[in-house]
Amino acid sequence: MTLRKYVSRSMVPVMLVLLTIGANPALAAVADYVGFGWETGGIDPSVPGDELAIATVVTQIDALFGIDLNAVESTLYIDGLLSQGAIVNPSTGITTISYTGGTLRLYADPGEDSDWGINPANGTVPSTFINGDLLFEASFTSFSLILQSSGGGAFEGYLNGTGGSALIGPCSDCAYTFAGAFSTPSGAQIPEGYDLQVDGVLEVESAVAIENMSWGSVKNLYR
Amino acid sequence: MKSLLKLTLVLGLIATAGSATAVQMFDFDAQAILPTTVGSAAEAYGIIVNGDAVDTPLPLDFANFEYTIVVTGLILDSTGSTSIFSGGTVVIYEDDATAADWAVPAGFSDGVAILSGTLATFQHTMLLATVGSGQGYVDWTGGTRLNELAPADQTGWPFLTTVSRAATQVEPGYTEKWDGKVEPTEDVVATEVQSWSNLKVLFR
Repeated sequence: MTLRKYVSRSMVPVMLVLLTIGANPALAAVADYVGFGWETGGIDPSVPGDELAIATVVTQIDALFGIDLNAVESTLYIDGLLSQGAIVNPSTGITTISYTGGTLRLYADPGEDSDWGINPANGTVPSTFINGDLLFEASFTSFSLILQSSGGGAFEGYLNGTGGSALIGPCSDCAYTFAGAFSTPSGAQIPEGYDLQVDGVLEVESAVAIENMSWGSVKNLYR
Repeated sequence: MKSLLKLTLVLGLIATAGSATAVQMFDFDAQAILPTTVGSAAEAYGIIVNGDAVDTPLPLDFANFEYTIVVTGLILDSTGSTSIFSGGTVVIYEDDATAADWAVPAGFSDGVAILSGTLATFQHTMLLATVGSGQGYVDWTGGTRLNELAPADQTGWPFLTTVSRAATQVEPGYTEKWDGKVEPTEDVVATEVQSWSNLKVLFR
């Protein structure tokens, strides 16, 4: 998978493998988000067929996505995750919910109008989280949510990239997202009608980036 | 001024009736070092990353300052599927001089301590192979801006964090990444000055 970075007809696109030396084994374009999620019928209990949606704002984003958070708002919206039902471990009280389907979309919006409101879906959700330019779109290949009775929890999901202006083409198993998921017993502020507060990260593989170089520059690499 | 009464109006309660969107938090991105033996201390060094995206409980000037959060002295009391810690200290610093760098932890604790407090208890659980969460409560007890919080608003702030031990998320020398927040239990609102007559109108 590559992220689209530079475009110029006068230049020749050349694939450069960016290698890292150190602790990080792979480069990733990262977006850090915080927001709220809700499930149709409520997440307690989560029953087969319930749909989970998550509306978030991005607080940090990699330059590879090509936007400046001082100039635009970025939102990340997840929907279409269908619950397969909750499984509760009787000895630990931990609830595990697996989901199928689901789409993640990342936007840049000069309007800066995101508003969670209450009791979603509502007049501002999802509308103010899915407006602007679509930077990245992906479909989930797996998604799991785990919740403790204390209200703390986490989720993670793996994705195939399918579109968006930052993506040069579809890619398989090239994105990953995880987050802490906090329900009411944790003390988290959660607007009325939402089930979870989430704070997480989207990683999109960008180990190979595109850089434009003149033929002369390319030749110099081999001299 | 005798004709005016300085009142702290709980506007958050009023606002909640119409909209519950005024979410406030100190949202941070941190790296943590966790001990493996009971009695040893955990520590974490983070940058507050709200920017313009999410409101902070106190107004912060992100254009001119960097805000960092440091947790120290968080003693591991027990291990297991959930690890229990206690006795930590949390400090939020405002600094316009040194850019925070996880390779130099001392750079997170310079500047002015605007809020400091205790993380009396903290529980930490790994829920998936590399992902977990942590939760505790902070009581603010010091700092240059403590008095901007009403006494009733200074305690019991949830400290909630995502935990990641993925190699792509952990900086050299650290055990895990914390992507978390410290947040008030309800919105912190500003003091508003009103005349007695305007106050009376509210109750007519």
